[in-house]
Amino acid sequence: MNQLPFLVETEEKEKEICVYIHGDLDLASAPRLRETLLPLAEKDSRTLKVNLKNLHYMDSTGLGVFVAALKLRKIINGEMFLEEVPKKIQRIFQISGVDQYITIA
Amino acid sequence: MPELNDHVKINVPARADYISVIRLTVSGLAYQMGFTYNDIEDIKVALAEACNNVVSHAYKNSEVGEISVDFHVEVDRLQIIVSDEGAAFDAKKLKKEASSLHGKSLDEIDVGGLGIYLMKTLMDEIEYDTGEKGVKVSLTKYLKRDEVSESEPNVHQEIIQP
Repeated sequence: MNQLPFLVETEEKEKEICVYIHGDLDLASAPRLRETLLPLAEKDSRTLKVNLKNLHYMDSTGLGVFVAALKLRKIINGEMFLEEVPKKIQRIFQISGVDQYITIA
Repeated sequence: MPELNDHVKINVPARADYISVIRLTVSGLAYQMGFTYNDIEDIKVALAEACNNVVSHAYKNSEVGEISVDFHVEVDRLQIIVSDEGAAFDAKKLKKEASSLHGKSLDEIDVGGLGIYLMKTLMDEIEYDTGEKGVKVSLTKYLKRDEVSESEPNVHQEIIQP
């Protein structure tokens, strides 16, 4: 029932993995991001780039997924950063303080 | 167009996939009242956080509950009351614990209090009423009249910006 269908796409390259998130990231869709992002964050040592260009909405449930991913990255000492973050989404990262743990490119 | 003292009420099943319907409703209402693009985004997130709490905490297991959302259109503000009829969780305790993550290390953080922190930060007023049956959360956002009059008649142009 989201305005736009929620979609998570991954693109694997030699030294990096790009994850593209489309639509609204909320309580209904967060489990689907969790399913894709957390196993990559936990096991893949390549640089993890998460592109939020087409993310139209995010609340604390989305922040929860990113924080969980960051904790997993820290364990394996893997890099992870966010790309093309829309201003309104950046604001949620900043207000909450999650922006201090993640690089927003 | 919403008029002064209009009262809009929607009830939806307390399930995660209905929260986007509530967000769409409040976007339309706040837009018609003349709220700015940024304020509408703030209201959407705060209201969704209140609904997230209902879906996640109010009803036990197989209980099929509802989220009731009452929108009160006032001359200078939008007041939204979110209520449920579930087992009242300790909202006062949660409110006390609600904080941002500023100054904490990644290892010690717990995102549990972020939803209520966002509600407090994004709205102008927030009140809790935990009764015998269910929780009521009241969220209020004021229309910033100066901004509205300065930008009229193009007040809604902001909406097309990314």
